[in-house]
Amino acid sequence: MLYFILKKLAQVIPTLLGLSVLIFLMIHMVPGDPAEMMLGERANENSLRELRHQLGLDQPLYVQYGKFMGRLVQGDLGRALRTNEKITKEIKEHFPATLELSMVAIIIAIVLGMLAGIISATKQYSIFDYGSMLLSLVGVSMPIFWLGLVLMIIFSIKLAWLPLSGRLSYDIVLEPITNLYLVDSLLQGNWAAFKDALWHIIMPAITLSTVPMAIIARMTRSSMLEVLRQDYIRTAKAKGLAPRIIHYKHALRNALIPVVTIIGLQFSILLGGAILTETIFAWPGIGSWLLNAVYARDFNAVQGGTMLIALVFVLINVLVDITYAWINPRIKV
Amino acid sequence: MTQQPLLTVDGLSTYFYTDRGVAKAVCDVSYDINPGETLGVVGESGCGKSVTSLSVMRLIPEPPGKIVSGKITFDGQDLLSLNERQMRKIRGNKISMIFQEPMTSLNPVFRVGDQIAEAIILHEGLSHKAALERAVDLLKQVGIPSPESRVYDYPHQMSGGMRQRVMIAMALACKPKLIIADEPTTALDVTIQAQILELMDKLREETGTAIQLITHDLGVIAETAQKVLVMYAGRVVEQADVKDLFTNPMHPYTRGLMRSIPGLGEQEERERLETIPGVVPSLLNLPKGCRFHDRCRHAMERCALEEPELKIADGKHPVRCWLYQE
Repeated sequence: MLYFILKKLAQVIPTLLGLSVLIFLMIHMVPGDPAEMMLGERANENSLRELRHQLGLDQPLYVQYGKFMGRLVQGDLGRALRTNEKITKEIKEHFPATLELSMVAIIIAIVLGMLAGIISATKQYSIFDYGSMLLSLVGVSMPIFWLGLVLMIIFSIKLAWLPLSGRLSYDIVLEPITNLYLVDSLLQGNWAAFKDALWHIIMPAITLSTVPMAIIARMTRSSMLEVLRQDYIRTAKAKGLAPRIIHYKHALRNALIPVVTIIGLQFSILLGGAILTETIFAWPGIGSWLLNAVYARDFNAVQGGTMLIALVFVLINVLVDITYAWINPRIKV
Repeated sequence: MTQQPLLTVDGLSTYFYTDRGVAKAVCDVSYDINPGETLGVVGESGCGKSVTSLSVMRLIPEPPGKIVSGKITFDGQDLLSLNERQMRKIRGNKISMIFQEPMTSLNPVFRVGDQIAEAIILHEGLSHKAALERAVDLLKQVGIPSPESRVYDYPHQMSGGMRQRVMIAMALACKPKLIIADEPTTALDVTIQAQILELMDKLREETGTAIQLITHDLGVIAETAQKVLVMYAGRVVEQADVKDLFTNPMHPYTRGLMRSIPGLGEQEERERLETIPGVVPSLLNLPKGCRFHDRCRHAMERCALEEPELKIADGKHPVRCWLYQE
């Protein structure tokens, strides 16, 4: 198994190399001159040239790429043009917010989505089945910014149960360790902060979880229905096992195989930055950060952020592969 | 010798209610099996053999299926009056099943040892360790080499024949009184078929379990069964001891089945293998009269109008055919 994991990780390297070339090229093909953006339209030609030289933009592309890669392998993504801060530092600040939000959202989506899918499959054509499948259809087709706003109106403005936006109230002090507020507050035993962070994350997480939840529910249902028709389910029945054991032990493990792919895919999409949700809830995550970088033609930041998202995608795929091998013994490890 | 039969099926009818109508898969089927005896059930595909056995296990998917009438008595217990929970205590414990498809009948994501042990833990309350030890013994009993390591195999690491042995080991796990084997050798090579049948027969002698063997292969019946039930389109058409049936087959369908077995006779004796013309009628749309009449070479006018009863003919064994009545 360890060998399998190492092999999968080794396969990541060429993928990332290829991706770095693609990302680099695409960003340099985007129209718009960063130097002009930084200095304004009225800047004179001399200072523009000076700045381009300073940024290394006057060098041939392959030299620029070489420099970019040289820094990248040292874990340096350069400086953001907007703020002149190190990009790695900015990512360290913003990515945990997205990671925390995505994790909570995907956990909600997995638990509720799979449960709904399993019950729908085992009670096919029941009221629950029709109801949950209709809801999941609504879930995939509803614009999530709209849902976010509706939740805000109901739970923050009308009922005043949950905070409107942000990650933490102003009067709460929390020493950052991982920048995952839920984890940090737990590590420090700071219950007030934990409760406050939890209260803040509920609404954006629920909003963000709707689409993956609906997709997971539908996938689990169809996968379970397929598995429940298999001969080995009949064998399990003939053994005298109770339906609960047949469904949750014998069927679910087989049905999980395609569901895991979907979960991985959905999770990477969430981690890529849920721009809409983050914007509505003023969540200082990587999505809104990247959006601002794009507006500012901050190609360094866009490049760094995109590289990070690509890395996350690839790593989650590795995780999915490892999970596969763990669930399904037919995969050679 | 008035032995109490282990299983008595009396007037069993199982129908499937589909969108296109009612499929009468099993109609008024009666038979019994004595302890330690092998009953062969023969017939073409779609004759109601499997539905009969699934009815005994109460594993008919409901809906669309339903046992509409009849009585199934097993070991003094009326199975049709039991609730699901009581029935689960019988399945895999007192009656177990072996299925046709060894390749797909084992769960691919669990080790075979655990799959065998599961029933033992469930019905006998053994610890996982003790159950796994029993699984090793069972694998040894069914002739799997180096069972100590094989219990940790996954199904995909075994061949079809091995998997069927695992299925048999699983069926034997709780020392059942009756094993229902639904075409256990159909999916296997001929040489493996013989081994599996031999194994089942040996185990029957050793353990004293009764076997209900479902097959469409009369050769298999001749080798292993003591009593035979011939089914056609949901009906029992002939019922006899195995010797009686082979020396004196009466129903035209039984005779047709026998003529379609390839023989290994002398060169000049060999003829073209006969077939029974036509196919089993759709259970949704059964013909009037005898269900076999449109394929029967002895069909008379009466056959298309009235269905014959299952009656003892010529003082020998019961047969459902007008040829032997009046």
